[in-house]
Amino acid sequence: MPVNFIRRTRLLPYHGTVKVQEGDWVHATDVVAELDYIPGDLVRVPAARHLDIAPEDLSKHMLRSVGDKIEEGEPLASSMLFGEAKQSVSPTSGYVALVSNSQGMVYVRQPMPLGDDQPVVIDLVKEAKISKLGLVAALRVNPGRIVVPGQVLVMSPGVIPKSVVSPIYGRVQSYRDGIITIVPVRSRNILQAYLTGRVKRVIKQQGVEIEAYAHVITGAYGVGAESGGEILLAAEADEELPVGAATAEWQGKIVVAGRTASLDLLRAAAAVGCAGLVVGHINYDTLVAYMGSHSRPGMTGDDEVLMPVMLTERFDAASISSFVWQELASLQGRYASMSGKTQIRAGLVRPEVVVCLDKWPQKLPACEATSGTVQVGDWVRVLRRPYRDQVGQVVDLPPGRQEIASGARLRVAEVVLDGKVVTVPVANLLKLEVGGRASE
Amino acid sequence: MSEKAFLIVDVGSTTTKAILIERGEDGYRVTQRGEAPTTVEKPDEDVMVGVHNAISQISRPLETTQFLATSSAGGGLQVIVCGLSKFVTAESAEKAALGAGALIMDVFSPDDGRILFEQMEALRKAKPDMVLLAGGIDSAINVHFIVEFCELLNSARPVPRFGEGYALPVIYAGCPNGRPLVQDTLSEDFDLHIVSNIRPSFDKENLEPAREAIHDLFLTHVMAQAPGYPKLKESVSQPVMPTPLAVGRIMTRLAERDNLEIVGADIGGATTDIFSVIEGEFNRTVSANLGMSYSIGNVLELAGVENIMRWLPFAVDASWLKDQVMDKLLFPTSVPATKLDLLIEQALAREALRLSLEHHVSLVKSLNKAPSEIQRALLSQDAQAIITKERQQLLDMQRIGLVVGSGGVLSHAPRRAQAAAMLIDAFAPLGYTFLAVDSIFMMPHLGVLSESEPEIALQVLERDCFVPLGPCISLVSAPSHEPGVVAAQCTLRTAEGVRQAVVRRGEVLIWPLGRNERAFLRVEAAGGFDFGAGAGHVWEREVTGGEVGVIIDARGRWGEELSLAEQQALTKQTLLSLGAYTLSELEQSAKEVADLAR
Repeated sequence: MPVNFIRRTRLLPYHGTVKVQEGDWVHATDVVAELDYIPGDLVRVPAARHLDIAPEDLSKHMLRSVGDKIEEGEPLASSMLFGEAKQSVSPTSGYVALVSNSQGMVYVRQPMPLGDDQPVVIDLVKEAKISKLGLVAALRVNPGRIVVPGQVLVMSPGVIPKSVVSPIYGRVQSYRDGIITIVPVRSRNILQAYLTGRVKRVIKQQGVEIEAYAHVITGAYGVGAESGGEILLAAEADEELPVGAATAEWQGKIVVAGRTASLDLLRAAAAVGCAGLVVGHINYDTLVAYMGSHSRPGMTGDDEVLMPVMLTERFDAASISSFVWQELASLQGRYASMSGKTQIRAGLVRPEVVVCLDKWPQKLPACEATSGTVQVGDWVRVLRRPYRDQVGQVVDLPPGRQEIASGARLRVAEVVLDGKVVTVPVANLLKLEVGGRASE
Repeated sequence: MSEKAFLIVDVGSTTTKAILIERGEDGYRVTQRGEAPTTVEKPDEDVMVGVHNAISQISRPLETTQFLATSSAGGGLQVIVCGLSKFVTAESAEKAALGAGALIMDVFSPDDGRILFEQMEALRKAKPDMVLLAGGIDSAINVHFIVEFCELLNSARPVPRFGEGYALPVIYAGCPNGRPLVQDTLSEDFDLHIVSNIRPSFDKENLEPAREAIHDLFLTHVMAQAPGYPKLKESVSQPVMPTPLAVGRIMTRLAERDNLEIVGADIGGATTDIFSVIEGEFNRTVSANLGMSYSIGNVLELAGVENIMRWLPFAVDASWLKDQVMDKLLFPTSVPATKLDLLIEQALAREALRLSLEHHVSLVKSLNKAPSEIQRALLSQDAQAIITKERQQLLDMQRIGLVVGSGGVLSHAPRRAQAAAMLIDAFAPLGYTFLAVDSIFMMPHLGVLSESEPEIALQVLERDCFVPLGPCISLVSAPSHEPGVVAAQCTLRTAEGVRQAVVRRGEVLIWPLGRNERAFLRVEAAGGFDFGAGAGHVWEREVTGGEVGVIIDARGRWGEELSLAEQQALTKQTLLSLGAYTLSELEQSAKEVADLAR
């Protein structure tokens, strides 16, 4: 099976502390950097007004500097006017984020708690004592919005309005029949290595660059963040598993689950603590239902799903292709890192399963830069109908543009598929490396 | 007229296109062209490599030519916009930036519905080329949000896209009393430029100073940081122009010369630009989430699968269709190779165009009414903004004389009738409208040329850039008749003779009339039917033909009232009438769908 030399930059979402040094050997699960705190909401403190001073004088009266930790009730700034001492105290615990001499304002950034992963479900009809119809006008947030603790979700009308607030930092996942579901923003304060390999470079306060030799299986589409576990083959490449197949054996494993997964199987796998699921295809409607909300198509990874999922082929029906299957089978039982992150735009990111070599080979494999351009002699996979999924070899690249079955005139290649020469648009060919891996 | 030749390149996101314009016996024409992949990213990281590759396909001594360039490489010019009110100053800032050829990354205002935490996170993750701050009308007193936004900028420190070591340009185009505060607040890490207020009052806009500042900064800062651009800047004989700005220039010149109102669309892979020239004013919007490759999944999400299904001439399973669209997203640069996949792609294009035009219409509106003296005296600025926010849409499809389509799905449609069908269905023109497509997206080249040689640019536009499809006369209104009722009696007088036909409600009639051929068209509307001259009145004028011919569209805009099956039957009838597809092609595709679904 081919081994790739890979290099990944691992960055914290905010500045923090890097825990490793250049040249260190790290395991995929090692913590390489850590945040001191995860910045949450900003709270405005009108300190100049509290002190009865001009806004531009605020800096002179500050008792704390930007970056300082402060507890609720502790003074941020003080002044002495006509012998009278005045203080501006912090209404919350957090860190001094900004001192504005233009507005006379101090901004205190609250740390985001490392909360539970479980969604919060609130029955707004019950809590706000309001009808479902009334809720339509009273609702203050929509699905997709980020909310912070204490933020009003609904405010009932009336002389004495009743409000319901968010108890957590999260994203409103859904609102149906008066029930709102908020999924916690899954911020972690640690950054793991993801690769087993050597620290090539330390990026001050931000993260590291790590090099490794690894088997990399790239998927077509995925959802969910990073994960890791031993690879477990639970099905054949073209097999469809029943929901009962997800058992305790799947806990902490990257499970190769065959041709596809139903919504019930996805949920059951997540429920037993499966670390990641790899299948040939999943119907788009099923995947959206699993995610619980519509993220932007082609931009995943930040979705709040508990278990990452990787489709090796596509959405329309397809089994895991034989070369991907063989590679996964050969790695059964090995520890793998997995990421469901997919970004289909310039700077393409695909989901992946990565199995790193625990020791670098004595004789390092050469790292050849391969051109993505299709050449005569290349092995290719056809991406679109009428020859979709067929693998063959390019025998000619005729000059100019030629008419194809759709009627369009395009650059084409002549490809031998099952012993027959056919014409395929060059744009519809995926170049394969020797061994059958896609090259992008 | 100059005797020079012009070598013009457009450095696009993916492709660099070069054209050579020379004078021949019949005036200026595009004589040669070349194209090559754009090389702004690795491994070359030098835009000039792609420029040289494109030019190398042109065989002419280049010393004698004038060299011009436009650019949208690296995603074009990406701008963050901020204003005090979403529908007043922030909207003016958005219009100014769009008109300068920018892609709007985000619009911030106190009433944008986000809490401070969310705004801070959005700023932190953004990688803009510049920031445009608008803040309050001239009489504004409260500029608190603008100052706070500057503080957030200081704290979030958004990283410029190109060049880590350079100061992010910020343009302040807000009220005068905010200037010293903005100057004091923004740290030295930003490159602050102050220009006249973009919105001096509710009923007055002043977009040009901000647009000029954006353009200048694009040239001096942003492009200077992009790999290879300094060399390109040195090579050209006039400033490099952002691609969308160049398109605006040539369209405005055409509208001025022919006294026309124009709508144009450039449907790309990731975004769709809509341009219009209305009462001499150029407007541009970018639908950043609508496109035919990287954004195809968003077209599905935003349009809804039923709206896409209605443009297919046969029944399909909704879930199956979603999977086909999403599979295209997985390999966004792949192309439809069968008639079935082409039909699906063109159905998606109709919805991407329709939604982009809706977005355009929603932004191209009259300004707020000026508050009365009493309102001024008694109400706060916020309250004035609310009571004066009623505005009129400026785009009226019945006044649009020319619709131009551009982008691969339109320009390279295998049959021109397919492009015409997409434009009519998506834009729903009313009355008389001439339809055209841009042959190879040459408008940017001609836009930059029009700065120095407007006559030559317009000449080439008509001869080599536009492919005329033909005039389309569409039903404006109809009584609530069933399909099949006679809508009009039509007569076309050409040099060869007279053609006559009856067009019924729900039908599309087409008569061949070639490029540059002229004829006299008369449409006698039946009682209650209006084809642009009023209900029951005769519409007539001389028309010029195109590659598709003369189209009389008596469908009207009543598709929403039909069931999905009825809409699909109507789509089938329209595609056949226009000659976009043959019956056997549609039947074969329908069979293929049935087979695949099994």
